[in-house]
Amino acid sequence: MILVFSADALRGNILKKILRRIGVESLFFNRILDADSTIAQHAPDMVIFDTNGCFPDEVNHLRNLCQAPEQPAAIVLGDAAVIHSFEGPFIPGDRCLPDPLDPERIVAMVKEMTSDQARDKVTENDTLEEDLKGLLNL
Amino acid sequence: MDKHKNITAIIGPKGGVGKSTISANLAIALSKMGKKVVAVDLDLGASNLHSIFGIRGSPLCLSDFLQKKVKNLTDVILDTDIANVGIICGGDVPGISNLAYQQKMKLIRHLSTIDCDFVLLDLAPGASHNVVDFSIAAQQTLLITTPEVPSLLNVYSFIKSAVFRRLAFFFKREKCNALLALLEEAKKPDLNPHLKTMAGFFAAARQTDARVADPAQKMLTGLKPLVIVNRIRTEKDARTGGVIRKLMKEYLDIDSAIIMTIREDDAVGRAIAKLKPVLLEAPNSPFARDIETIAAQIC
Repeated sequence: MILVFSADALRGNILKKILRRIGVESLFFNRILDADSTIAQHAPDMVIFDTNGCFPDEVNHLRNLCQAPEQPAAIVLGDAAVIHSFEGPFIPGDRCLPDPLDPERIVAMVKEMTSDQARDKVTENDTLEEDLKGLLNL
Repeated sequence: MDKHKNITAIIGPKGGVGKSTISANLAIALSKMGKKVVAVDLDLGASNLHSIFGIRGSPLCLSDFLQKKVKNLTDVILDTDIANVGIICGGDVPGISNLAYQQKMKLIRHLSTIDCDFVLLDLAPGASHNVVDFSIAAQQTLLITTPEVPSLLNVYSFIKSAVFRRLAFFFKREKCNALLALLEEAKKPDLNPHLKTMAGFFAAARQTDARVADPAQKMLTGLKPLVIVNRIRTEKDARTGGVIRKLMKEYLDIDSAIIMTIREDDAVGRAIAKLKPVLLEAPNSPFARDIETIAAQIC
């Protein structure tokens, strides 16, 4: 499941629609607190944060969410100058997609991240956990 | 904030993970939030916290207090160039790292009397009794690791040591020798696989003495360590903290650990080379922003 946040209901619904077209279920929120509590409770596989139309404190809040280590993988949309500040180890530059809204690019990114996640999930963390358990004699 | 709940232990069970750099910069971040902070270099014998503040030498340091050259710990607090940030330098007297029990208890008593919002303890690497005991005396514990396996191993081992020592203190205080003996058995998981997890231990403990076992388990559930994964380069690095949290929950019954991260940042090396704190030298760097996020979390 993908969680979509956009302060702009029109853009949010467009995102929901393009995801449905490729068979991906999504939840759309246009209030940041609702998105926040849903992420905390249900841990979506991925989030799409649209910063378009957000107030500066909302942008800061989204940025902090993206920098938390256990947050799901994120795609960030919006004005190039705003989304540039999201780039870092958790959000590589290619996941920050500047306006104008480009459905094809978003779909391609979602597909790529979905297949990466499926592959990574069975390797990285499981291997580390098994290594640690072995070394700690657990 | 409660004036008596201000001691924060900063622990890097594996050396070289950035503990002192984080301690110094965290002190500055807290001061920027209006808090009065004293950073204490307890990495005795290998102290270097002062150098991160750009202090080259100190007329008085912690070793002067431990050697009774001054009466009060507050006598060795130095002002830094940063408003509301004081520092207690460690000193380099040979053998000073091997604190006697009475010295340690005296130091803990004096630390709790320092008049400030936060006392940050920059502790030595490893899981010696001294380090574990200072962490137990603190109201908050920040465990610093890097994403590499040896460092993660040491963090888990430290937490396990701290859990066992807390339980030993508790059982001693309750004069419950049967549970002390059971705790010793739990240190040999190969011989006692049923005691391998804390859940298994407390199941056996309740059968031995539920009156003591139940509050001991409740005490552990109150532990809320903050694990900071430093020098994060990739998303994969960032997820390593989650693995430690999972192991803590599964084997140590610690369900409320908080994981935070600090990104790898060249600004840190540049600031250290100049003997300046990163928060002053590069206040908008990713490292500085991550430290400020951590400061907000512990306030």
